[in-house]
Amino acid sequence: MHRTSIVEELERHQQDQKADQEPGSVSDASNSALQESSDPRLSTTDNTNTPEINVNDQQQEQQVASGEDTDPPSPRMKTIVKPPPIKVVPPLNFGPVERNLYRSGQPEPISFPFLEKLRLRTILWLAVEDPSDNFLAFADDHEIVVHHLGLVTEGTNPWDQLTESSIVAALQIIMDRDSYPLLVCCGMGRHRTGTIVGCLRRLQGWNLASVSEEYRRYAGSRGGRALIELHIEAFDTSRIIVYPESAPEWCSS
Amino acid sequence: MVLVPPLNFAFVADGIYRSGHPLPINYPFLNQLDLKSIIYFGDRDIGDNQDYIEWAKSEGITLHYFHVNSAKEPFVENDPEAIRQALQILLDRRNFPILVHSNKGKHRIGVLVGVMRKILQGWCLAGIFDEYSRFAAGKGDLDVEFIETFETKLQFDLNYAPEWLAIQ
Repeated sequence: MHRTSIVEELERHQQDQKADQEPGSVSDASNSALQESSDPRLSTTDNTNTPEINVNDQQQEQQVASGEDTDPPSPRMKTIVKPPPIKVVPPLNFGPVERNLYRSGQPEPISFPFLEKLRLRTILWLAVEDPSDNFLAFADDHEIVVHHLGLVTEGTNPWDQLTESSIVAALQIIMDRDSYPLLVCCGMGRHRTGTIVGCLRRLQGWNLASVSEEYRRYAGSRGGRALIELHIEAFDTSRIIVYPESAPEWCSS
Repeated sequence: MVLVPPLNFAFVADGIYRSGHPLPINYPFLNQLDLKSIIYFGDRDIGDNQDYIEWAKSEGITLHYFHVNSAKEPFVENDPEAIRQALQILLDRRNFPILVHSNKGKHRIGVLVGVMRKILQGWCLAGIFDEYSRFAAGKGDLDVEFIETFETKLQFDLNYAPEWLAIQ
């Protein structure tokens, strides 16, 4: 299909972007494999500069009116016919927690490309042991701050729980938007990570049954530990000071 | 005040949440998410759900209901067309924040999230299956098979593509 028209369209768009700083558009589509498969019908409508948004039948009725003040940008329709050619591998027990806040077990090198996409600024490492050398090197290469919060007292055992002061320290970092994007992790991403996320949910005002449900979801086939749930239940959320002006985006409500 | 999220609630990606069917006890929690749309994969007559529809309406939420049966071996299969239409909605961030839910938030919605991870985000299948089974708690051979083999054709407008979309 006429590749040139798309290249022109992209260039035009890039100029538009410079001109009006339109928010949130996808910038790097230049090497897109999707270009070839763009629908000619739709790209012709592009050239007419119509403000109408071109959508297929199913989408037509689902289209939500755009809340923007200016005229909507001319549509840049793309087609997806298959998954991206390069696969990404999430770390063990990975899960999104809130916007730009993630949890996982210790990432292996195979997951580093996946982590790169998250553009992490901070990692909370909760295990007693040090993280692996290659994980530390990854953090170093990407200027990610690693807080090692698992090891706080002499003689701590891997099977001991996180101390109250570690939990408080972790939550203070999580409640600071300057830490984001942020990954909370431990060896397996189960109990220590689950403790922190559980206490965070309590801070968010979740009922305990839902907090436990989420903890058990990540706890693996051997299930959750009652002592951890007790720890989450007993955690005094008033120890966390939340400053509205520096709180993360997701807790704006 | 204690906030009660719906059963199997979780954050999926920017602008997208998943869960089981919300009940009135969950409305205060959902209200703070400021939802713009909901995708509901259900197998009941939507008329049975009048209270829920009223609630969505009163909150100004667009409810997309898809009548979809839960896959049961060997006769009931997932509905590729419903999945495709749902993915189309997820490709337009003007529909965000959006909640995608089924009745229990395990299987049908797990399939939708699974194909989203595969086709829109390029996750490896192992990671997708891991996430699927975290919610499905057993059962679902047919579902993971469906996620693996599902193919579709989708169209979207780059202007409104979600940030997490893998464009390669």
